[in-house]
Amino acid sequence: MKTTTRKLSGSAKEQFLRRFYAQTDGVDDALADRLAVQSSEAFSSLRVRREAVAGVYAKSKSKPVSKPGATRRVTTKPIEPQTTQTQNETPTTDATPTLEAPATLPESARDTTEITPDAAESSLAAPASSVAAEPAAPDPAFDPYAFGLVPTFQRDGADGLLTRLAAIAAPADLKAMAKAQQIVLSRELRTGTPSADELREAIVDAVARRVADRRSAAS
Amino acid sequence: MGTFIAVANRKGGVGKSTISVMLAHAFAVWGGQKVLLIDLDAQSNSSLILIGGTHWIDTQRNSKNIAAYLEDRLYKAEPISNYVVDASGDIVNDANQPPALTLLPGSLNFEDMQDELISSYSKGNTPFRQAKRNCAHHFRQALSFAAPLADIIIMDCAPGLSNATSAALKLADKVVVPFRPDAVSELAIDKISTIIEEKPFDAVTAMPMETRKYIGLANYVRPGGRDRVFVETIAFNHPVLHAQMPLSQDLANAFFFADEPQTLDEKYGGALLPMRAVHDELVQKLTNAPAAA
Repeated sequence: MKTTTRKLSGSAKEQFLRRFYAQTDGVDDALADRLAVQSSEAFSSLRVRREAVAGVYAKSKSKPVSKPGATRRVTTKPIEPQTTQTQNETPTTDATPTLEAPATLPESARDTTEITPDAAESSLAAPASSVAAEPAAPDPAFDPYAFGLVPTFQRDGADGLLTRLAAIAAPADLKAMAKAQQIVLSRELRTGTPSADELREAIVDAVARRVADRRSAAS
Repeated sequence: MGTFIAVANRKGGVGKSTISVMLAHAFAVWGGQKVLLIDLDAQSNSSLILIGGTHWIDTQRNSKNIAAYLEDRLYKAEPISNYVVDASGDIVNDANQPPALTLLPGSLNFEDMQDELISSYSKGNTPFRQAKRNCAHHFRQALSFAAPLADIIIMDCAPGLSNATSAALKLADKVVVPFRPDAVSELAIDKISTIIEEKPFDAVTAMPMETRKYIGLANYVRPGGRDRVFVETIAFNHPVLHAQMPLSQDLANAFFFADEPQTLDEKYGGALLPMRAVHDELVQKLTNAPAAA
């Protein structure tokens, strides 16, 4: 007898979830990514109806899901999850494993109404301690080459560089400038949410090291 | 007597050969000068650009190339002019005449020949350091014989620091150091400056810019702040021409040997203006003439 469900785990699970969420009206790609990651962490594996898998990927072919971070909105209706489950379904001898919806599917996913971003966020909101706040993106109008970090340090010293950096208020802009000019900051500063003051001091230190390294290399 | 200009950078892929050819064309056509280009790179790129592959192969077969010249000088005093070929190639000046441009072609055997020379000088229990010094002297003397042959002698050096390159750097009146605007170039130009000036880095940076023997030339420059910042960083410690060579398809196309002679305008297209700016500024540096107002 042909199986009706399919088991998904690992990257296949996350990919399915990403596409599944992205095909919900009101859920953009960035939100779909976050939902997929959080769901994937919560569910060790998924049993999904075969027609649901086929449907998700068929819709993805006609309207491909963008990579994480994209902002394109998908307007297809959500796939209705199964409301009854067969948790005790015995494994079949078919080569293709069976699928069933997870018992812990959030309320918003059981509902046949459209998932709104707010509802999705509130239903899947993880404890704040386990999810780090995303660092703000740099201002697209900011010019990371507005002035040269190394030449400014060479010309005006550490204090002079710090003074010029003081004009840049946003940590994201400071990070963008350092990255653009190949000034290496620690991983903690790059990925965390340091203050602007911390970043300015770190940039000055890194530039000083870079200049010292150059002098050593030429000696 | 001719002015020796070495085009050198230990770092490869910065455009030494293309800059060498570009300067040879510029001095010969715009300056109306007799120019000799000496190809010291076994890759022979400047030779191939100037005279094309067919003629370059002939110079290998006929032993009219730098390796043959330097090796022959071990055994007999052959004049350098015997190894020099016409290199007006695919260029004519504004009077539709070939410019006074000649070439001492490069050779694929050049690196092996240098090793053989050191080996030859090492015979009779001569210490290796002494053998290297003797070899360097041999190169320098051999290259110096080119002085009467042209007004401008351009030496296209190989990447790295071979005996031939060392000799060229010592012999040169001016060293042009092409560089790409990137972090690695900062290190490369720092190091070669100490070799050219024969001083530690701190002593070099203490020298007034206008007294230094070398000058940087930013090459493959892209529009935008990224490259501007790197050039500015390098220019803080080193003399750098204000004129820059852009990353340019026209410049890349210029280095295919054409079947028919063409003017510089036809050959270099949109790269002609920056090429003219580099030439004019370099002439001013060489003659120490005051900058144009």
